[in-house]
Amino acid sequence: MLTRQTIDKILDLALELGGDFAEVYQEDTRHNNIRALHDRVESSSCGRESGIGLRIFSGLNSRYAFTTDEAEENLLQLVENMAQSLTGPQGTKVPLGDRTIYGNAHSIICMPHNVTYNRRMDVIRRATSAGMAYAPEIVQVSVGYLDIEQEVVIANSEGVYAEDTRVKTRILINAYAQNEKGIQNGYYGPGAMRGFEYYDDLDIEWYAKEAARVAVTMLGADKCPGGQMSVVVDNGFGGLMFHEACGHSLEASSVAKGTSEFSGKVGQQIASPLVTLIDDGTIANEWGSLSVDDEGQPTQKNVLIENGILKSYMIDKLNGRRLQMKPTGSARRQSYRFAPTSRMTNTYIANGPHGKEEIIASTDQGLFVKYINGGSVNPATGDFNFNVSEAYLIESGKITKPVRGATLIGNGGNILQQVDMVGNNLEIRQGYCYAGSGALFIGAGQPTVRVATMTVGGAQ
Amino acid sequence: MLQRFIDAFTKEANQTGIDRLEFYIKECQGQTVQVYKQEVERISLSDETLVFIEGEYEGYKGSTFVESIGSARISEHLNVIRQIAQHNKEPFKPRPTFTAQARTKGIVHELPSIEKVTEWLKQGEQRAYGFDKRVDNVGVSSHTTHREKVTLLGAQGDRLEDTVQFDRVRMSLVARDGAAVQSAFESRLGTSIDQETLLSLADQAAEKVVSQLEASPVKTGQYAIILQNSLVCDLILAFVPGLYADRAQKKMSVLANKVGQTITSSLFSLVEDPHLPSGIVTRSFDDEGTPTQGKAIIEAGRLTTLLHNLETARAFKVQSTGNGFKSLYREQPAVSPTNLYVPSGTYTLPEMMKEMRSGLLITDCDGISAGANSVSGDFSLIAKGYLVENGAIQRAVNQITIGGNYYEMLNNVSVVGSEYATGGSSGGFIQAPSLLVNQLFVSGT
Repeated sequence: MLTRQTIDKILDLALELGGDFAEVYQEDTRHNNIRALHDRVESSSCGRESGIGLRIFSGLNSRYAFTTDEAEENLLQLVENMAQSLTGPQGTKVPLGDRTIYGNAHSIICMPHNVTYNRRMDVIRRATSAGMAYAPEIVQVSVGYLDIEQEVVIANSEGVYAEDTRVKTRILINAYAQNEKGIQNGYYGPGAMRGFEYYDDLDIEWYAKEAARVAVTMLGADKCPGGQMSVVVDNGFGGLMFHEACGHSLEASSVAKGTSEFSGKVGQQIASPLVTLIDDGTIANEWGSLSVDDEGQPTQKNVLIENGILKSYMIDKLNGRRLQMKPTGSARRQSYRFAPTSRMTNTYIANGPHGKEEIIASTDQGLFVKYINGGSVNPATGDFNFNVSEAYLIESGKITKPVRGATLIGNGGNILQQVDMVGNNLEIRQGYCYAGSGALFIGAGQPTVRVATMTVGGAQ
Repeated sequence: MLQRFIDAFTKEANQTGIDRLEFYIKECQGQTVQVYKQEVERISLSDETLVFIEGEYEGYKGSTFVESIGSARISEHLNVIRQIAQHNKEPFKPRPTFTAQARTKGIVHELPSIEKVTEWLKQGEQRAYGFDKRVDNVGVSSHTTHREKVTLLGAQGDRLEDTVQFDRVRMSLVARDGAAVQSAFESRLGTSIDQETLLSLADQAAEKVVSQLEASPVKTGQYAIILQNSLVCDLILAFVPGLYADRAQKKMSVLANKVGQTITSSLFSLVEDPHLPSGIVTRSFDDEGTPTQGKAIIEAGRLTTLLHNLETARAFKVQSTGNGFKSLYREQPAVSPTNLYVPSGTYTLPEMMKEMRSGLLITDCDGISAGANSVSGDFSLIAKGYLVENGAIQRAVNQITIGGNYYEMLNNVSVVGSEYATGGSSGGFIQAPSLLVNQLFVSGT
């Protein structure tokens, strides 16, 4: 990693050339990414992703550069190129103290670099056999295995000098079922901020069978009817509905320029009183957690909406300047190739008063969404969508036949008000979020939730 | 530095029993300028060298990847190669000696000056604000230039080099009128984008966002639909993996056994041209060293070929079609296209609306990555556009979904437009006109 002297030179030069803030982010990440179909390895992508990202601010004007050339003279030249035409007054530097080493909050027992390739293959084999054995209709099981060991050093002109090691482990299981009607797939991807010990107590076979079960169920599903209906979204990754409906619109990157539907609404009732939304990057060993964010600030538990009232946004340093609000430990980036910005970590709806059975029994006609595939949002208008991977009709208070291919749409501000039942079975699951600063590990969670009416985009 | 690294790596590898090294090197440079409220808001610069290495150990293939080559721990990377070789036991097959010639080295141009681009962006932003007083916020207005050079070094010392370079401009706008809020996002992609293109982008984005202000849903039901050209680009890119032989081989495409059959309306064709003048993926060879080839993939509705790399070509007993591209430099080559286009028809957009009489003109869809299933062809997507009656736009429409099956939809194409939009990335470029589709299912009120 860069020496402290080199970091000092970079920060000094950036301030001298007109920056009022400067930052060095260095990353060295070991990746093990193996993809197998049946038991045959299709792709092994194992190596190191490493490089440096430099950032300079002058007021609201920001400059970012990244490079894989870590030589000091190259980095200093890069600072000169970045600082071209900066005219602001020179900033003052807080000297770097001792490097703060984070990472102890999330105990990692078996570091990926101590794991042999063969042990990884065992995990893949277990998932593959369990998935294939589930039913004769299963024609294919594809398994992705990944572990990541990311070492970062983050230093800035305000005296931050942090080091962190982030360890992530995940298995992605895709099962394909085929009959005369076509091909359908089912997916499950459990992961954690843990080392290889994650597999000591993970029931891999259950997840593989669950992916296979979804594929087989969807094979027998009719196309989903379209129109307005009550929607019950089950606990777990169903929380992605709120990630899209309001999570992105509460990121300072959307809020700061006044272009989010929630800009300027702190303190206002924006949701049903049943809704409490939290973004918490500190949850021990959770997939979306970080000890310290990508600007070197420790993560924290941010209550975004409490009993329907907007409490806070997720804020990074640059957008914090525009908003004149303090950063909330929410600055994230996929890698050194991206400037950090405010993003979600583990985002979930807190438990409410209702039982899952009660929610379903009290719904006369509607749609029950067991698993969500993915979605997106336009933060300016709040219009969002998410696609379901497993869903059923609810008829007379009972879950009946499976339906496939639905995309549910709505407007964030409107849907938040329409939440009329919240269960007491909170679960957080793992996924990726793709936005301005790249693909990130995120957690999404909720108890079972009912939305009184929303538009179900069906196919008949 | 790169050559020093290659020499050092090769030497150490050979000493530890790893031979026949093949290097895949990607050198990228980029520059982005973003303007907000007539000030430079962000400038990003990048310069990276990424190296993927494959070699033979005890007869088997192993690989690794390295980014900061100046500080690479070579012994650790060699260990990775050995472990992969020993455990995967995939026999090492040397790549055929390269015969393709790099053809595109000549079209690389200087990165545009930051001052010049800044001036264009400022004018574009002014143009958008000036279009209509309801244009309330031009949130992002940016210009990016990206250049990447790919070098393949074979074990015999043979070498191929190819460079692509393109510009992308983006603008996202918000318009307000009382409580009504709408946003629009527009982008353009090309080998070199000039000021005029940027200004026309600003006009179009502003016109679109203002016209959408009073949007509301329509009733659930079947509608005739015109898919606007930019959306046709997005949809084709979402479903193009259905044409990849590796997907077909893995039963992940419904087109697996359809070569030679009619799969779309005879009015629809899809052509790949690696040297399309407007295209950005102008490559002479793919990431396996096979020369790229122009070909009609769908010709008047008939599927003439799937897209192949070396491995799928062996499995299907055909020749590689020059589509063995990596999706990430650090992975094995999969399959993807260079430049695609849909041959245009003769109808302008107003003529298409007259032909349709009543239905919907859909301009944008969101959530395509989750809502479009490239395995089955099924899709259900949130959509925006306009209600068309008596051949003319009546009002704006939002908060609806369009749903159906991509292949059925292409079978129902009845008119092909005359005007092109472009889309894509370095992983595949597309140029397509608007399409009139006889019916699609719409969910609304």
